[in-house]
Amino acid sequence: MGIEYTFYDYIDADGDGTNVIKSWLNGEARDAKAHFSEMIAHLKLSPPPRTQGSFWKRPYVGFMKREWDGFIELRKEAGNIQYRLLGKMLQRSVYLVACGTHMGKYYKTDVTPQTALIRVSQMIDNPTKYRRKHEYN
Amino acid sequence: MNTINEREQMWQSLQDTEFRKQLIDEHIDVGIAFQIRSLRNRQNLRQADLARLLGVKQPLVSSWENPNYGKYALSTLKELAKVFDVGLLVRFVPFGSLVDWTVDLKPDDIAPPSFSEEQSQRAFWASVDEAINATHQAYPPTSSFDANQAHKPEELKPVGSGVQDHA
Repeated sequence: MGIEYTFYDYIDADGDGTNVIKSWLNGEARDAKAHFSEMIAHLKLSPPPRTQGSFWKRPYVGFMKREWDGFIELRKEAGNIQYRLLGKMLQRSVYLVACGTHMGKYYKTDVTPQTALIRVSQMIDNPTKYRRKHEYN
Repeated sequence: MNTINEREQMWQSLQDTEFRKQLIDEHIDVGIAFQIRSLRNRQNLRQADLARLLGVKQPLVSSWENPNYGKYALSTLKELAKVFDVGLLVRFVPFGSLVDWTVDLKPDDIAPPSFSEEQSQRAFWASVDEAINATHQAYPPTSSFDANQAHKPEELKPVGSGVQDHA
């Protein structure tokens, strides 16, 4: 069996200690939760980007530009709202750090790209404190 | 801190009726999209090739490979299975089966071998079995080995220039 990717959720260890991705999926993005669970389970097995049979590309994964350059996103549309799960892919790890919705002209994320980058650094530098393997509950 | 495994986490999510309903859709929609693309890649087909084999337009194949498509007809899936020369299971199952599938997913589950690949694999393993049986017939296992004699530390002694006791 090939090497798998590992998805990590950001833990708000300096705040209330919640798993921010899990909270979003159980709250605002509840309608998209099963979609993201299935997508993550499948993407874990994908060959790396730019190789034969890779799923690290559209329509499976979006590679973002402009202020979110370097981030990836998973999307699910449900009830006229597009839910977006944002993360950073580094080697065989995917750090899920931000969430967003797109409705009509309005696109909003829970944090800025700068904060998302800080979260990624925290997850890498202090894994026991700031990250947890993606939780499906 | 990761206190419970993925299977238990999924099971907790299933306590929510809405999640269970979503999972019925997403298990098919995401799973089939990944399977069609993976099977096409495994069989070295371009979208246009697959479209031609099925008598449809290439953009439709592209839609089938999109995990947000979600409008598969059973007749289409049956035709795809025939073209890929793989089986197709459509069954009502307990939710535990969906959880097992998702948690234990392997690349070969996503892109299973075609019948001819399966046939080759079976022929290979049959030849391996045959070779092992032939070896056993040519060199039958001896029964002189006595397991009770094999592990008697007090009888172990240095041999030749081996370990010396300088005490």
